[in-house]
Amino acid sequence: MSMQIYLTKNSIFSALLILMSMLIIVRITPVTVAPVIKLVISKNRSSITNIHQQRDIESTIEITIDRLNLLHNGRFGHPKLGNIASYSDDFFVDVDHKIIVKKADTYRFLSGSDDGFYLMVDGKQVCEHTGDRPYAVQSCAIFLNEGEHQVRASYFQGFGNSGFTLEYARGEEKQKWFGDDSAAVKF
Amino acid sequence: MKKFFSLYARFVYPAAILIISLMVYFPFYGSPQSVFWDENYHVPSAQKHIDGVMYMEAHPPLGKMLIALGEVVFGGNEKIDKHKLIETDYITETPPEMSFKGFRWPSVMMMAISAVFFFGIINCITQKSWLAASFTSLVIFDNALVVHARAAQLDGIQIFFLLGAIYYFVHSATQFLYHQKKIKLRQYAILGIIIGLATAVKVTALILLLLFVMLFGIDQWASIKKWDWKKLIKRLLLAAPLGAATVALIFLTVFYVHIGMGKKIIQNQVYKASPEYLNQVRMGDTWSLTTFSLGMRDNWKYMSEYADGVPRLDLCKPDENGSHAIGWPLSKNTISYRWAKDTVDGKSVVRHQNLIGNPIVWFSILGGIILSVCLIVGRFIYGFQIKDEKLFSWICAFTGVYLCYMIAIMQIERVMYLYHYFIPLLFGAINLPLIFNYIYRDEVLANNKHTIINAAFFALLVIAVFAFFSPLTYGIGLTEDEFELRNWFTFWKLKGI
Repeated sequence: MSMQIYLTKNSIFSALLILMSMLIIVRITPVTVAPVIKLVISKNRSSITNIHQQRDIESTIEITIDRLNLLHNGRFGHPKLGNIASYSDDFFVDVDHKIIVKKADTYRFLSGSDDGFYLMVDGKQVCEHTGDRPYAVQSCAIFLNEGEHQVRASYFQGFGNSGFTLEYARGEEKQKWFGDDSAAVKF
Repeated sequence: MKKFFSLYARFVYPAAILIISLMVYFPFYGSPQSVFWDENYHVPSAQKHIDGVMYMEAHPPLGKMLIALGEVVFGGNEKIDKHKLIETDYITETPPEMSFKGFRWPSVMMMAISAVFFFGIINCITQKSWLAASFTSLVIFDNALVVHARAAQLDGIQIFFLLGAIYYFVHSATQFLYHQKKIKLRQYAILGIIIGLATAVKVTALILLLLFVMLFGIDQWASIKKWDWKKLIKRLLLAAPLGAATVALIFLTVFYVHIGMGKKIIQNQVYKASPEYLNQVRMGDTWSLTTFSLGMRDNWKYMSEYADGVPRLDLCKPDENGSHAIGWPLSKNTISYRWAKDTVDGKSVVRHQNLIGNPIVWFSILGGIILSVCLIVGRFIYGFQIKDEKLFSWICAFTGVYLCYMIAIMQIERVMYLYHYFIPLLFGAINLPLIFNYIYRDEVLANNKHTIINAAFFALLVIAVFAFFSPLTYGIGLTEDEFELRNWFTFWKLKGI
C-alpha cells in the first residue's frame, strides 16, 4: 500500500528527471587521474623530424598524469583524459622522473613511439629512435641497483598519427606501465 | 497592487517570456563580426534591396527585405563603403569596420517574439499558464535555434510567421471549441496572409497549408459527423479558394515589391533574366504590372533552376555538411559554422559556432512524438479509451504535421541540412506539452504541486544543458578537453579543431 503511494506518475517522472540529471553530471564531469608523472609538452614552431634536432619552442604546457600510456585510437592521447597535448603536430614531450628501485636486477624498458624518442637512466642512454616512424615498441634492458634513479624520456610528434608509451619489467616479470608501482619499483 | 495584478495577470507570463528571450538572443549578437553560413548570401542580397539593385535568389525575398530593413533602421553603417556587397551574390570578406547588428536585428527580435507566440499556442490549448511557460523553454533555450536566430539567416524570421500562423489557427480553433465563437471566412483569409508571409521567406512553410485543412475540419466538424455533404461543399467552395488566394496574393505581393525595388543592374549581373525583363529594368519601369509578370516568371524560373542544380547528398565527401532527414531528430550531423583559434596561457582555445541542438530539447521532442504515435496507434488500432478527446485531437494534429513534414522532406533529392528540421522541431515542441498534459491530465487540472515542480524542474534542466552547450552557440573559447566534454555522441560528428 505504502509503495503505491510513492509510485505515482509524478514520482516516476521526478525519478526520470533526476536520473537524467545524474547521467548528464557524470558525462560532463572532467575526468581526473592520479598525479604521478609530470609531462612537459612543448609546441615547436618548425616541423620536427628528429628527436635531437634544435628546438624552436612556441609554447609549453605542463600536465601531470598517472602513467605513460599515451596512445589512444592511433593518436597521442590518454585513454581517460584525451589529447592532453592540445596539439596534433610538431611537439615534444619531456619526462624527468625519479624512481626508487627496491630490488637490484636487470630491468627492461619497453618504449613505444610514433614518431621518435630517447630514454636515459641516470644520464646513460638506454634506448632511442631518432626519426619518424609508425607506432612501434622496442625493448631495452639496463641493470639498476637498489635506490633512487633518474629516468629521463623525450618524445616527438612530427606529422600524422602519434603516440608514446613506456612500460617496465624486472627480469622476466610481466611488464607494468611506467607510473604504476610494483614490488620492485616505486614512483 | 492586488487589483493591478488581477488586471494584468495574463500579461505577466508573456512579458516575462519576452524579456527572457531578449536576454538570450540579444547579448553580443553583433559578434562574430564576419559572415557565416548563409549570411554570405543574405547580407549581399539585403544590401541589394537597400541600394535598389535587381537580383534573383533561391529563396523568396521577404526574409532578405526584412534583413535590409533592419540594416536601414539599426545598421549604423552609414559611413561604411558597402559597394562590395552589391557586386557579388556570395561575400566572403566584408568591410572590416562593418557592423552586423542591423542585418541580424530582425531575426533576433522576431525570434524573441516567436517565443511569446509559442507560449500563446500552448496556453490556448491547455489553458494552463504554468505549463505553457515551462515548456516555452524548449524554444527559448535551444542552442540550434539560438545560433540561427542571432544571425542574418532566414529561419528566425520564418519561425516568427510560422508560430504566428499556428498561434492564430489555435486561437481561432480554441475560441470555437471552448467559447463557441464561430469560425468566420475572415479567419481563413487572415490565416492565409500569415502563411503567405511565412512562405515568402522560405517555401518550406507551405506545410502550413495543412492548417487550413485542420481549421476547416474543426469549423465543419458537426457537418462532417452528420455527413452533411451539401453544407460541407458549400463551405469548402468558399474557404478553400479564399485561403489559397490570400496565400498566393501575399506571396505575389512580396515579389511585386521585390521586383519593383530592383531598379539597377550592377556589373552586368542579370541572373538569366529575359531580355524583355532586363529592358523594363533598364527603362526604370519596375513597378508596372508588365514588369511584374516578366520579373515573376524569370524569378520563378531562376528559383526552379537553382533548386534543380543543388547537388545531392554525398556522404563520401569528407567535408559534407548535409545529412539524411532520418537522423535529424537526434541532431545527427551537426555543422561547424565557423571557428577561430587563440592561444591563452600556452593552451589552444577555439571559439566555435556550431549548429547543435540542445540534446534535452531534441531528445524530449522525439520522445514526445514516439509517445504520441503509440497513443494514436493504441486508439485507432487497438481501440484504447481516450480520456480527453479534444487534447487527443490536438496531439493527432501536431504529430500529424510533424510526420507529414518529415515524409515530404525525405522525398527531396537535393542535399538538406540539419536546420531544415527546425519546422518539425517546433511542431514536436508544441506536441510535447500536450502529451505531458494528456498523461498528467488530472494533476494538471488540479494544479498538483508535484506536477508543477516536475514541469519547472524539466525547464531548469533544459536551461542548464543550454548553458553547458552555450559556448558552441555564442562562440566562447573552449580548450580541446572542454570541447570533448560536449561531444556526447559520435553521430553528432562534432568537429574539434
